Parts: sequence; structure tokens; C-alpha cells
Amino acid sequence: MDRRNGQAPAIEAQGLSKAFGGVLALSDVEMSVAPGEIHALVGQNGAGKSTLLRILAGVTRPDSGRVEVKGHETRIRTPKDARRYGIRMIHQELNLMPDMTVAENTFLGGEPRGRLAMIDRRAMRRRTAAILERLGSQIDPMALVSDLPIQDQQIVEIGKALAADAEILILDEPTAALEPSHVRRLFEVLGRFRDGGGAALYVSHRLDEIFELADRLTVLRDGRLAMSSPTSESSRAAVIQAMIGRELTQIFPERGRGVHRTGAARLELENVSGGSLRAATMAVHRGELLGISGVEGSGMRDLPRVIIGDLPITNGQLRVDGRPLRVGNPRGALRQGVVYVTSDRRREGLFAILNTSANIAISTLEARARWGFVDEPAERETVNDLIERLRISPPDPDREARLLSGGNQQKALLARNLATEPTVFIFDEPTRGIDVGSRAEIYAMMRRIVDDGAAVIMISSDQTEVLGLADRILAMRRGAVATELQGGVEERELLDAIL
Amino acid sequence: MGAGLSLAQRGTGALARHRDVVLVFSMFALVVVVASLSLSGFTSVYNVEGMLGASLPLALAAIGQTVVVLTGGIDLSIGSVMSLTAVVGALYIDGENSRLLTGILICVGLGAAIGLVNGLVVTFFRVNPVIATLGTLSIGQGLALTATEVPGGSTSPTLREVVYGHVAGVPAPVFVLVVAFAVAYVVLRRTRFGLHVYALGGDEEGARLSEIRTDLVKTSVYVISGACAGLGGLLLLARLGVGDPVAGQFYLLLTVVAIGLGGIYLFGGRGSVIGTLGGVAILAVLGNALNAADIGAYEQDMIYGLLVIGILAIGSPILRRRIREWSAAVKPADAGTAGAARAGESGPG
Repeated sequence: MDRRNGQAPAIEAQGLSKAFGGVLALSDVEMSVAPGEIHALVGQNGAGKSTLLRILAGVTRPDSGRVEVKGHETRIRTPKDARRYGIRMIHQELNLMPDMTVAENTFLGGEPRGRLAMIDRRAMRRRTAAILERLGSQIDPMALVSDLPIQDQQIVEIGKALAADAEILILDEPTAALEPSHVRRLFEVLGRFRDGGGAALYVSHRLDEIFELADRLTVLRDGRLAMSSPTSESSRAAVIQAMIGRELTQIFPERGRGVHRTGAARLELENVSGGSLRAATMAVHRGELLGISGVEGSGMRDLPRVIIGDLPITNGQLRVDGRPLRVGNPRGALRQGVVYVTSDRRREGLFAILNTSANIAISTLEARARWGFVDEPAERETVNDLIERLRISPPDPDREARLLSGGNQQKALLARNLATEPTVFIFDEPTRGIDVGSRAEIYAMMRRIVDDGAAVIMISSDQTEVLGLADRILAMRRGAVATELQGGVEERELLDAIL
Repeated sequence: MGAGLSLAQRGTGALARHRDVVLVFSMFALVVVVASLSLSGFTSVYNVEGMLGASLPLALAAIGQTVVVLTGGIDLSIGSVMSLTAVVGALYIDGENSRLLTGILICVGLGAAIGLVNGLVVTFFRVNPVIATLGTLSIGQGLALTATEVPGGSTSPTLREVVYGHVAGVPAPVFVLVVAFAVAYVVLRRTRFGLHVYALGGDEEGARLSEIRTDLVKTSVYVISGACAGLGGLLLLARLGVGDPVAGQFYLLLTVVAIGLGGIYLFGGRGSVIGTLGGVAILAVLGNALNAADIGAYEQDMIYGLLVIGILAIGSPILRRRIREWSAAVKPADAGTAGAARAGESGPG
């Protein structure tokens, strides 16, 4: 047991394990956060960070192991239970009411009561001001939350936790959406919280920030504890070393034949700003598979949305095959040969209750239709051809898409887009939630698309995948390309570039 | 266009925060000016008192609808509850002042009971409010017509005075309106329940995470709406003198128009009941003016139908977003042809 400063830890996890459908997400993890400590949790995607946070906050129940608060065993089954122990989780999507004032939000659900069952607004305002002052913040308790910038909203959420007497704050990537100067402000607030004896556990991918601001850090790898030490006794290199360790599996096809070095640029971005992109410049060439790597908040999430016109471009230029790309909406992008395959198949792309055939043909219906009527024989032919080429299983065009496995759903989306014969493919987290076997097939398919002369951009937070598949890698930070790497470099190099 | 745009943008000043209320009362002033200029006798004491009395049933019903819509729901049964309680009240009271008090209790209780059914169906069985209240709409209407197919029963002298009488020289409806809206305002703005109503409409999941008993709040708003409609039915009886089993049906649409005009956001969480008062006032004047201008009941139906569609289209956040995007797209590139072309594409939407 860890007893720093002779005190019982504010919160301590002992032997936590959790499996999801046979896959071990967390295995015998021990860690603790001391009172008066800011503790950073680090690890690659799938390392088990979220699972750990969710168990501590009562959202998920562990299969085995226990959680102690101030040295006492707890029975945490729901977020409400966790709150009773003074644990409060602050999610990435804040739970604030935008149309209410800061004070109303701070005390929502626990409003101070005055006479006649009415809210004592004056007390609410005064106590909110006191809490915010304790946090060193100047936010007006009477301001509407929707008028506050995101960094202030986060502080309101922390104030809300304090109003409910929280002693342990769990923050899921609180800094991902913040500018560096605002990160500092957040940490000043967390510092005040810590100085009052509070304990904070937070997930971050930004190593520089962790070394500057956190007291202690814990690294998870593949669901296991890889390292835990005070930041002052650790180093960037040691943390990256602890994060690495997964082996490159033999599921990646052979790299391209070097066409990309000479191929013409198919899609170019020149100083493009929009969404979280800040003057991003890049090009992807004929026959090239370009990997985009970065952490949350690096701008890589918004990159595809800007390219296809889902987010407005505020500056810069996009070109496809040398011609300016004029996008106003995803349909426009599609017409000009740019295809976006989304990561959230169910929500953004696939029509769950339509059959495979309809899902594949839906983007090309118009081109093939006569006076609005679908040309069914032609549709069938294309669909069957694609089902065969992509080896969608079962090869049944009438099967409802929701009944397909994740990998086959992804293939169906791919088939839809192949049907439009595009020049540029953008894959966003192409293998998230897909089993290894289907992964290999999707990788092979992506390679074939490239070999056929199209250009592929793959955006992925799975560094193994980027390293194993891409011909060239662009590491993004703060909305722009920070570093260019060749495919197949050391994982260490890539992590160093993005973190 | 420019003025409308700046009003539609979010601001921090007090005026901007209450812009919907300011807007609805400006519209009210405009309607009043137009009506008094174009219709003779519009401003006569007789006519003004008539409008005040006529607005009462709608005022009560619209307050109930406001509370429900603020949580993100809707109560379609309001009109048929009004018909039902008007009929039940008329048949029970039947001209006797001595039965007025119990009659009021029966009508409010009946409305609240139907509201409770709505609330439980919505919370317990997770039925969409549109469907749940559509069901009780039909049940309520059926019950009213079962009770009497033709207008029957009658109001009592005291009940009649609520609409047509005076207290200290001031028309009685003024007091009813002031009390009703004051109570609604205080409950919505000054009590925990009221705050939770707004929270529920703003973000149900967030409200639940803040340990608000969302199902209790949700059930309560339908009970309140039912009780309000019950009172509204009684006021309808007071105005018409008899219990008409179909008189309430027009009020459903009118409540939606009133709250729409009043700036109550139809997806919940935003709006003030004072805006609803403005909406009710506009409809009282408009109804009076349309009658004075000799426009028939069927034409009026069409006008209100157009109004509700128009309000929803103008108030739609999608329209506002399109306008915002459009102006954002035009501004940085107003010299460039690409910007102009883009604006042209998404403009008319």
C-alpha cells in the first residue's frame, strides 16, 4: 500500500481487472492518488485509461479488485455512489446547462432553499462567488454559461464539483480542447484545489504539460500498470519507453512500390484553417498512403471534416488534381472525387436497417437512376461485384447492415465509396472496434486502392497501424503538421513527434 | 434583415438576454397600433374588456403548455381537456353558485388526473409525448362528447363574473391574468422545481447527472398542464355560459402559436412565461381584429395554421444557423468568387 506523507491515499485502486467480451481491458491494476496531488494518467489508445477512470467514477464495475477512499473500502456501483465518497468525474463533454447562469449550474440539483420553498438566489450567488474565488477565478456567477469560453466552462464544472463537496476529481482529457495558455489557467485552478487538500486524477497525452504541471504520473500499457512515479523522478524518454511494448503484428500488406515519391499530387492543402486546423499544409500523391497521426486536440479529428466541407474553411486553399476544390457539403466533395470513410459507422455512415445492397448503392443511386427511378439490374450488378471484390461476408446483398460484423460493416461503407470511383480516400480510424482478421483485409483493401492510382489519407490514433501501413506519416500538433516521417520508423520516433 | 439578424445573435446585455420578450411585446404594440388605426371602436372600453375576457381560457392553457414545452415535451391533450372540463363543470354546476367550489375542484382534479396519465405514460413507458398526449386528446374528446353531444349545463353567476365582472372598477380578468402569470413566473424562476424544469429541457442527461429527479419533474409538468387546462375549461364555460363539448379543440393550436410568439424554444430549456403572456395578448388582439374585420372562422383556422408554421420556420435554430453560416461564408471572401458561389448555394436553403 502506498502511504506517501504518512497519509492514507485519497483514492486507491487495488488489483482492478475488467474484461469486455473476453478482451482484457484492465488487468490487476494498482494505483493511488494522494490528497494534495495532481496525478496524470498516460497510455496509448486501448491501454485501459478510460476503463480505469470509469471504474473509479462508478460508471463501470470491475470484475475484480477494489477501490479504497481514504483507507476505507468502498462499495461504488453507480456514479451517485462515487459522489457520496466525494469522487467526481468531469467528462470531456461538459455537463453544464448553457442557458443557465454560472451560479445556477454550480448548485443545480442542490440549490440552497430560502423561504416558501423558493431558491435563495442571493446565497447561491454568494457561495458560487466564494467557490470561484477559492479557485482563483474571476468568472461572474451571474454570467450565462453559453457566453463563457470552454476553458471557463471547465472551471465552472470544477466549481460545481466543489459545491457538492468533492475531494477527488477525475478529469478525462481536460486539456485536449484547450490552448496552451488556457491549460495553464486550468492548472492554476487545479493547483488551488490541490492546495486545499484535494486529489486530482487526469488523463492527458501531452507529455510536456504533464512534466510541467503534474505531481505524479502513471503509465498504463495494454491494461497493465507499466510505470508509476513522481514526475520529478521521471523523464519523457522513460514515459515513452513505458508506453511502447506492443508488437507489430504481421497484418500489414507490403508497402507501395515507391510510386508516391514521383506521383502527382492528388489532394493538396495550402495553409488551410478551419475547425481546429491552423494553417495546415500537406499533400497526398497518386499511389500514396499517407498516415496522419496525432493526439486529441491536435487537429487531426477536424482534418477530414474540413476537407469534405463539413466544417467551413476560414482560410487557405484545397486542390484536387491541381484544381481548386470547392466544397460546401459532403455531397459536393463526393462529386469532385473525395471520399470520406467515417470512424463512427453506425452514426455517420451506415444505414443500420437498410440492406447491404442499398447501403452500397446509395451514393450512386442518382447517377444510375432514370427520372428518379432506380435502375435495379445495374445496381445489382455493381453491388454484387463489390461484395465479391471486398469479400463481404455473408455475400448476401439483402442482409440488413446492422446484422453484419463491424469489419463487414466497414467493408460495406468502403464498397459504397468505391462505387463512386473516387480519386482521394480519407479513412478516419478505419479499424476502430474491428477484429484482427478483418483489419488485415481492410489494410489490404486500402493498399489495393492506392496501387490502383488513388491517394489515401488515413487518420488514426492507433500508432501501430500508422507505422505499419503508411508510406509517409505526418504528425499533427496544434492544428498543423509538426513533423514528417517516413513509414516504418521506430514507434518511439512517432510518439515523440505527436506527444 | 440586418436588424433581425442582430437580434438573433447571442448577446450578454440584459436587453439581448430578454430579446424574445422584448420582441413579442414590440409585436404586440405593432398589432395594437395597426388594429386601432384600421378598426373603429377597437379601443373602446367595451371592446378592450371583451378582449381581456376572451383571453382568459387561452392564458391558462398556454401557461400549462409553456411549462411542458420548457422541459422539451408537448401536451396535445390541452384542448380536449378544456372541452371535457367545460362540459363536466357546466353539467355539475348547472347555474348553482353553491356548487362552484366543488365544481372547480372537480375540474382541476380531472385535468390533473389526465395530466398524470400523460406524465406516467411519458416517464414510465417512455412513450413520446406527442403520441402519449395524442392518445389522451382523443380520449378526452370522446369523454366530452359522451357527456353531452350538444352544448349543455350552464355557468353560475359568480363564475360568470370572473370573465365579465369588475372589482373596484377594474375588469376582473385583469386580476386573473396578473395572478396566473405571477404565480407561473415565480414558480418557474424562483423555485427549485422551476429551475429543474429548465434544466430538464436544456439537457436531460445533464439534469440526471446533477441528481435531479427527472421523471418526477417530467410527470409534474403534465399534471400542471392538465390542471391549467382544467381551469381553462372552466373559464371557457364562464365565457360561453354553457358547456360546449367541442369548444376547447381550437385552443391546442392557439397555445402553440402563443408560446411560439412568446419565444419559448420548442425543444425546451429556453424562454420566459412573460413571453407567453405577450403571445396570448397578441392572439387576443388578433382574434378580436379578425372578427371585427368579418373574417370567417374557417379562414381564421387557416391564418392560425399559417402562423404556427411561420413561427416554427422563423424560430428554427437551423434557419439561424444557416443564416450565421451564410454570413460567415460571405464575409471573409466577399471579394472572391468562391465565397459568393458558396453563399449562393446554401442561401435559400
